[in-house]
Amino acid sequence: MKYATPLLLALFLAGITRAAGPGGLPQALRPGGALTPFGAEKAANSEGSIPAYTGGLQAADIPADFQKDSGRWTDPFAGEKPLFSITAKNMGEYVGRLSETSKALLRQYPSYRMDVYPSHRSVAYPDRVLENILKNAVNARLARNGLALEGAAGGIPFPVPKNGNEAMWNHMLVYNGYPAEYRGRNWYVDSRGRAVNTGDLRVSLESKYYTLKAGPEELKTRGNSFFEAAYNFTAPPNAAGNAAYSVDTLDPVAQPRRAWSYSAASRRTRLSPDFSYDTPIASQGGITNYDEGYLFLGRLDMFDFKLLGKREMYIPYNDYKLVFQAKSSQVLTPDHLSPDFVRWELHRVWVVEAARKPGKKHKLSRRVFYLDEDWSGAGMSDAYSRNDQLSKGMFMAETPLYDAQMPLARCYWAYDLLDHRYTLIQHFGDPGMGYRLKPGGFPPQTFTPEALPNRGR
Amino acid sequence: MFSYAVSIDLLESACLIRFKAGSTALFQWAFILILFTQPVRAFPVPAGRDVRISWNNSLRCNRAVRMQKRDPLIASNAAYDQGDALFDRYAAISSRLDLLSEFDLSYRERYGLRVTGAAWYDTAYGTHGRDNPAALGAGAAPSSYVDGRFTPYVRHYYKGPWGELLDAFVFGSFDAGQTVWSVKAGRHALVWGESLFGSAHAVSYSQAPSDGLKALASPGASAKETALPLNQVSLQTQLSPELSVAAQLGFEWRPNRIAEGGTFFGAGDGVNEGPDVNRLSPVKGGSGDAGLGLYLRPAWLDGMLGFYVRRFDDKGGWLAQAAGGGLTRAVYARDIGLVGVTLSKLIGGASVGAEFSHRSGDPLVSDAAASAGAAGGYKGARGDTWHGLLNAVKSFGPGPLSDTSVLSAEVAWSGLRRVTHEPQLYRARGYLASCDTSSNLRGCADKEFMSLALSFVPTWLQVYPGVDLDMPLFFSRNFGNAPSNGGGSDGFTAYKAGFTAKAYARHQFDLAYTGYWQKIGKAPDSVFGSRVLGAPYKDKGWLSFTYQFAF
Repeated sequence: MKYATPLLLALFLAGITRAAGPGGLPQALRPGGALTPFGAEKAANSEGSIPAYTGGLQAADIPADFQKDSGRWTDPFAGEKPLFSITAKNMGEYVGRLSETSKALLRQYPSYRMDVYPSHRSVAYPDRVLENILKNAVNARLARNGLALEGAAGGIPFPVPKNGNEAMWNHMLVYNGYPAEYRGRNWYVDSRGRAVNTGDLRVSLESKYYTLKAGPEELKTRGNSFFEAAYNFTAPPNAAGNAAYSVDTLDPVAQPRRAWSYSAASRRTRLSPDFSYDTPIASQGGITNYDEGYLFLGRLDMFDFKLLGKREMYIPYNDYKLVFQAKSSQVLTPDHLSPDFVRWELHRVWVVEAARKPGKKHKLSRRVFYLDEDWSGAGMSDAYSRNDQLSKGMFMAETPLYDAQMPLARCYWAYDLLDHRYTLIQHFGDPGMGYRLKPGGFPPQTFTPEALPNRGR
Repeated sequence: MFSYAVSIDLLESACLIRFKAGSTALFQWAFILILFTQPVRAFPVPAGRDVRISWNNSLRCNRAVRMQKRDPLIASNAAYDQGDALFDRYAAISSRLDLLSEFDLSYRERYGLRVTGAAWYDTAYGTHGRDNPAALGAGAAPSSYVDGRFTPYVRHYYKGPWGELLDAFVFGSFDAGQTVWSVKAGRHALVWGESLFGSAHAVSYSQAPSDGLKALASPGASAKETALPLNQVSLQTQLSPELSVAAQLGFEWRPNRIAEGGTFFGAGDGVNEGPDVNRLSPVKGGSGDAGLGLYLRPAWLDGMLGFYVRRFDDKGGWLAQAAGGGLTRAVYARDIGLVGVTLSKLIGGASVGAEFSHRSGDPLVSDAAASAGAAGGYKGARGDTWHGLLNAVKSFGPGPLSDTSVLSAEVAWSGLRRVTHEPQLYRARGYLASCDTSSNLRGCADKEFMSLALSFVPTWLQVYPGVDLDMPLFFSRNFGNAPSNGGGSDGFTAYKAGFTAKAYARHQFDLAYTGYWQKIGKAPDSVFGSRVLGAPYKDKGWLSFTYQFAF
């Protein structure tokens, strides 16, 4: 029964593809269709545990204690109690709705627990983005064997993804807090339970894919970038003053990722060599690799991405308490995040299985991604290494910015199941940390290598 | 259970207490400071959204030991005997504590100031040097210090306790339309161009004086301490994403610091600021260094082109110019011109840098026994020279050997175009009679010079909870005697191998062996009995243990 939904969906997709006609908008995406403009099922699930999509959190839902421009979003569901908790004892009842990593964590640690709350399909999109998605639904296409994207801008490219590569491009292109600047803290917790602060960062984020309103052709002539990040380290002390800038583009074959780093010690900005694929990130305890930012960020050429369909699963959702309110010292308990602060909800997710291509060299042999159907960026992954052994899993939490009609999935964490350590990235709960949208954009030339010394001093 | 986290804390305390014993007020102050900040750990002091203050400190403990016994060709040569005599095999050559303190304040991340300072104390050094009474040529190169007592300069920079202010500058950043102007004024260091290992043949030559003294005396010192700041105004203007301009104008001149005569790493007993026997005050450079850089990032190149024009006074000098009557002095050349072009581009996943530059009035390797005299400002020969370098940095992912590794390689090249001043002093065959025989070992310049440097650093992550391990390996070798003064000696080879452990992103332990090879030979025709090409390090292989932590 695991893939009952996918089976139905396949039939359903076959239907809408036929109904679409050549070059037209799929019937299901049209007003009155079964799908939202971003391709999610409008309807509730049959048992009612996943609600129908009703437009996400609106102005009326803004909690009274929310302070605009504070950089923190308070919990609009603070009054809710968990429906139930999943533990090692009762996990058998929920096994079809747990990622393999969730199951492994429950089995491995008696202290691990998943508190499941009522599901809220809380993400909302501005009309402009919804209109772009409908345009993309007609015009977006994969290029270079699925490694590059053309004809899309300003919204997810494939509201009705037909294959794994389309789903992965959707995930990399979720509407997710651009342009913005945050101060976040990165951690890993070693196998003895000691939390190590590996970076306090001020990061400026930009996506020309979203902020350049002129459309795909203009975007192409302006660098074709969909993700630009300028990082400035303020801690730990030996990294303070260092800075980096990276650019990812829609055509990573012709324009691969470029990164520059500024060293406060040598006072120089240098072009970075290519750090990519399975090269581990030392500052994340070696748990995650360079292609695992936000679950996946990188070139799609090492794996065959297969779209398995949709499933109903427990994913971290509406985690305001964890991301914005809890201090890192409360959250970072030995072995795993404190279950008291992680909110789990049942949502429909797209399941993409990535199998390493024959002859390619990558530490992971297989990866499975579970991506929120509302394309909020939230999701999970399971990663398998040698002998197809489950070795690692990641989770990315959703916290929609309800005053701005913007989804936000920036905070994520990963467990190394073999070496018993984990990492928490972009946590905004400590004093001084926070996420700030910059609707007015950035000062000129913020996103250039030459600007790094100014950021880094 | 005796956790090793506790043992790190103990080491921290030991590092401090060890030096507290017999320390002065300065180090008691450091000790108190550290105790104070222990519970707080790192600052950025939250001072509101507009004003940000951070105060970072790092403390470094070094213990280094000489591992080789003396080579008689160095130990019995009076020009080098003092540096070689100072420490026996297995004696500590460094037992040193260093503190670096950095204070940063910024307003809206646009305006602000930075002040840094360093302090140190080394119990391996005392107030006196040593010499070899049987060394040959003591008449020509007597003991460099009156009564063997180190002068205040040497005592300050080695034994200490002593300290100095490093960076002290204000900065501001201004937008004008779509352009951004960033200005720094005060003591700060600038290093332009693409070089990886050293600046002898780079466009950044003599841009910031280097503290080679500290780099050797205190392993683990970063460029924050070893690139010495100068009082200057610098500007960076970003006119568009494709075009930016940098400029500097200096108001201060300071020379490179090098290991002093009579200390373990001294390049010769007679130099530089320390010795007070037969030594006259240096002929210094002046303020007024100026430089202009233009950076282009054309889309078609997918890389960066840099164009540089600089005019500056030398920070390295002719260190022992004959001043008559057996006296010597350091002389620093004025008004060297440099034009250069650089390229930076990703090729095959490697970050590749290249530089090509031309220097006019470049100080050339000069006659040790003569100089232009008082009328000529005691200068040596000068000329026009070419310099180039090519480097690449490549990162490797997980493999059978390590989790990740980084390979860096650099080739530098230099050649003489022509001699323009004092050709009779140019130490090269055809210019100086003494270069007609055994010219290589005499350091006589070749027409061309090359050097190669390789660094390979494999890394293993989380070898122990919270601990990453690196194995830094380094090798460099020179081919030919460079025409430029201080440009490199033929055959001189340095290598280093060790381990670096980083714990909890704050503590770092280094264990390293550094060794050298060089050309050295008996010289019956010389009063010193031997000739040594380059700094006399062949018998100075050393093992160092460094522990540093940041707070």
